Amino acid sequence: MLKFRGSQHLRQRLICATLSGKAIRVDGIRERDQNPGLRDYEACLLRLIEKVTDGCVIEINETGTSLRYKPGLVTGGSGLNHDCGKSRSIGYFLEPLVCLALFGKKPLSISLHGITNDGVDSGVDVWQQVTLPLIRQLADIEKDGLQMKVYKRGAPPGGGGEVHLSVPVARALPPISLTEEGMVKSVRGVAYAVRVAPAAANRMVDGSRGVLNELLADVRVFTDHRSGAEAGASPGYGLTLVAQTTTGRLISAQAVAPPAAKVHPHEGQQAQRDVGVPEDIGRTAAHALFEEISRGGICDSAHQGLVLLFCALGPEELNEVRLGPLTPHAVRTLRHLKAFFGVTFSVKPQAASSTIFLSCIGAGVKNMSKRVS
Amino acid sequence: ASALFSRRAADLQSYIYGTSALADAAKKNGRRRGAESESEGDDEDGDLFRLRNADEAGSDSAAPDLDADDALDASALPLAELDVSRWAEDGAAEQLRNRFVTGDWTEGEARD
Repeated sequence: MLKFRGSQHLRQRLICATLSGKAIRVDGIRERDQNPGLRDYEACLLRLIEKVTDGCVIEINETGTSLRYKPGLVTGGSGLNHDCGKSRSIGYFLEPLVCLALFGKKPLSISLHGITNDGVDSGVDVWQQVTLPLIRQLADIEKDGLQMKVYKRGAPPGGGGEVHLSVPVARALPPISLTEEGMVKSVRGVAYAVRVAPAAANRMVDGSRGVLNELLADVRVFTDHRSGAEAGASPGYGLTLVAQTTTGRLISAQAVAPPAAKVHPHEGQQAQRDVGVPEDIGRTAAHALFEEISRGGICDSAHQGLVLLFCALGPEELNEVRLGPLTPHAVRTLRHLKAFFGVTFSVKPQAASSTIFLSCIGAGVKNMSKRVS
Repeated sequence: ASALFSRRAADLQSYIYGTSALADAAKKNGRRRGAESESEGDDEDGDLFRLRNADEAGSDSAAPDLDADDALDASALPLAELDVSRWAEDGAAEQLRNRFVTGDWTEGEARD
């Protein structure tokens, strides 16, 4: 039994525990917080894991500050449904869900309800345009296997989005060698607007173009304006930009208009002004994309943890990747991968490009239910 | 976050693996770890007393404190953590010219 403290990195702990078959115990979850214990979204995630696995044991103490998790086998299955709540967006749940479902017994097909885009987690556009293609490559899956459809969008705080995800079963992971960044050849994007004027999407596109066209002409941003039942319960808009490089790498950045209701009452007026107009959201997204490109590496900061996870799960040969400055999430991921799988990465910073080469011998994690074939 | 990048491989490697993810492992070699790296804020063992404020600040705020036990579980960096504003200055985008196909290809390929 592996013991951890605190609520940090819970999703990756659950992924690693399930894939390594090791039971974990997490103590001291927000024990000094005014509102101690697991949050509703974490409980929601545990319920989701219960749905897609068979035979797992989850025990939580009375105050919710201790969690014991004994993993079961991932079963997958179709026709599933899950309400992701309104605290975190669907992106929070997708990461553990996809990672686990790849090692399931049967392909997974599930409808997720909740917030599709917010400022904390990767939105569904990032997932469709960057994360899923990346996972397809990392896990060597055909294009039509791993798919996601956005039926309804939902902005915070009301949510009301609906996403349908299908994940095939991976047998074993291929060796990973991603070290060439390439040069940015095009930028694609999606500007979404729900329950606001359709012009907001076009104005965001204009704002981002003003910045991006200075360096690149090949910029195409699609607008996705939704109304009525497809638009969820709250107004919102945001922009996701994806830079494509000559070596096929994808770098994403997103900017989302903050939800109106979350503005603090005493600084309401000020905050309202800071939020700015759609053009500013467009410019911010473009600037964030520049920042991600300047950080370097074969993926953006949001995907570092995922790439490292797949390297560690990979076959027992050399897996190597090149990343920009490591995010706190990536560093925690490295520590957890060592704790669960005993995989230690060799870290070689390259001064000239300020990127980091990480390589490891994978743990050779196989799909438990496909062992015979 | 850019502070995480160190030019010396040994520094970075020991920074990453100097702290264990496991709670019990951290307790066992806590003393050795404390001697190695003073700067780590993770002090659930050695010190008998510690400031409560420091704990609470890290618990629920959006800013990711790497060593906080209850740091927010989000894979993406918050927009506030990215140095976005520097690209708003005039001519800042030119620094990235060689990372785009519109720039100098030999410069760009020299990175790989």
